[in-house]
Amino acid sequence: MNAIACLTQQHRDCDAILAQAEQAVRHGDWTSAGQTCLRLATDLEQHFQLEELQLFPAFEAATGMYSGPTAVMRQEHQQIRQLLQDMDDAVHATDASAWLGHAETLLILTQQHNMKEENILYPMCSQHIAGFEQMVMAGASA
Amino acid sequence: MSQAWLSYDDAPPFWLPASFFGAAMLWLLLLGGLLLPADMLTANRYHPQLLALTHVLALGVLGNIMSGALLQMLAVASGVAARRASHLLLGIFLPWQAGTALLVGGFWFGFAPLALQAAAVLLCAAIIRLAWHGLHGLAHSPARDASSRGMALALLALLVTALLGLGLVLTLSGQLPLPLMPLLHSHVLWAAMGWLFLLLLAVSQTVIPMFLITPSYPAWMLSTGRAVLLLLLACSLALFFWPAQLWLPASLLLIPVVLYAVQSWRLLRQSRRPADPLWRQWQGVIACLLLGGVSAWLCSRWTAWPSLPLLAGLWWLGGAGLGATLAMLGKILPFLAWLHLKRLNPPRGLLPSTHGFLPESAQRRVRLLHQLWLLAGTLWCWQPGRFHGLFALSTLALASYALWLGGKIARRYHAVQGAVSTAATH
Repeated sequence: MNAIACLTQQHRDCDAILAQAEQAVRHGDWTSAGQTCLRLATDLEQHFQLEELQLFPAFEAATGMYSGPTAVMRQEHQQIRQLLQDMDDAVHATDASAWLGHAETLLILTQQHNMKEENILYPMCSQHIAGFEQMVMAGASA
Repeated sequence: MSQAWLSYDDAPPFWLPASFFGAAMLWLLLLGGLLLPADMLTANRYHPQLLALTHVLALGVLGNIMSGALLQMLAVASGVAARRASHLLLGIFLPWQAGTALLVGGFWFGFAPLALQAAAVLLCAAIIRLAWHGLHGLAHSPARDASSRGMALALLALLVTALLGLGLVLTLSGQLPLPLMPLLHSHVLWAAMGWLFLLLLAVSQTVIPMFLITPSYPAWMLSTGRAVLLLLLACSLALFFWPAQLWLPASLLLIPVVLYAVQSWRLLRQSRRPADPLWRQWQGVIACLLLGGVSAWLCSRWTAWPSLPLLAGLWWLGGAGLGATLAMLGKILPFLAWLHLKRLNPPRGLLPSTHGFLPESAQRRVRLLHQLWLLAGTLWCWQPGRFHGLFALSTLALASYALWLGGKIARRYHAVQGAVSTAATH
């Protein structure tokens, strides 16, 4: 698996966890929903850390683009973190309607975010960052 | 590479796709109004009223939603910036509406040549502007995914459809000595299989795995799109030069439809989100695509039943096309409202989720109304003189409910916008 496939797979794994949490909420299984949401938040944060602390700075240094795509991606990461917080609040309030609304918003936001990364940003990173493959593989296994 | 890549500022402002979507619902309302007087008592695919109604649905309703969604998809999925939104409104939206109105009027009032010619010029101008925006943008985009490539194929097919339509109008008004029927059949094939089906193929390769969390479509789906374009070219050549051989490419055209339907069905069965209303909506789209495709194929060999071409058109445009676009609207519109309000940095708790703009229950009611509309339409195709009232009322009901939902989203949007401004000043 190359670096782009590895990053893409992390996106897909998070999608699957979100779907699992949704099923738990729809079935009223709040214990499982809470645990799955926690796993989602942890996995997403790990992916964001790899991007924000390693990938994006390397891309910015290689291209000189400090306020371009990476700034937008960081901003979207922040929005995703806020939605995860809203979902966590809904889990604690056992409010299925609120949770499903926030989860759908998160789903569409992350999917369009992933689409931009997979279609445009990752290929650009692969093109501009020396040692891109090693950086991602080391970060993913950390 | 531009510094502005992937910026929110490059996506169209909310009002641009919203103008297309709002206009589409008004055209749907007009479709209901035009169905009320029953000028066509028996099924006849060449009746002026039917041609007018078909173009209200194809250009007014579907064309508007597809163009608005395409501008959004091009920006988000392919990084094609829509920086001069007012230019796109002037160059695409306005001539599209004026051209459609003139075309529908021209058909309705017995093939009025001046109206049809003006319509053809306006629609060609709008389509060339849309195709230029998309194809030029895609050529300079680093995106090489299946959806981006598929959208380019669909835009090429739309261009050919428009040029064939222009040729038809000029032939009808005696300004070009071209054979009418091959032109007409080519125009229909490129519009239905080229523009509509190829765009559906392109968009679903992104949105089905994305919204329903399914595995990706296989890579050969992109080749299917290219094969459709080649088959369409073969069909047009056969229509003009070797009509006896038309059956071969026309029959082969059914294969990509079946392949897409089977593959989509398999993916739906593997979906991790079967409770989403989109799941059932897409099942309906696949069923209508198969019904429409097989009916259209039968039309060429079984001419004894004049209702069959109408049914093929209804299931293809109204079943698959309208079903897919309504399903997409249910996802895109609330998210765009949320996304644009999020840019205002509202205090926590002020911005509702996408379900706060459009709940799942509303999406389910839209699906139900669309199914009833399709049933009424099927009866109308069978006996137009008898069921036109039922079809008209079901169209008005679907359009009114969709417009009411649109108004509700707009009111909620403005309420949150106002609350954010108030919060910012205190």
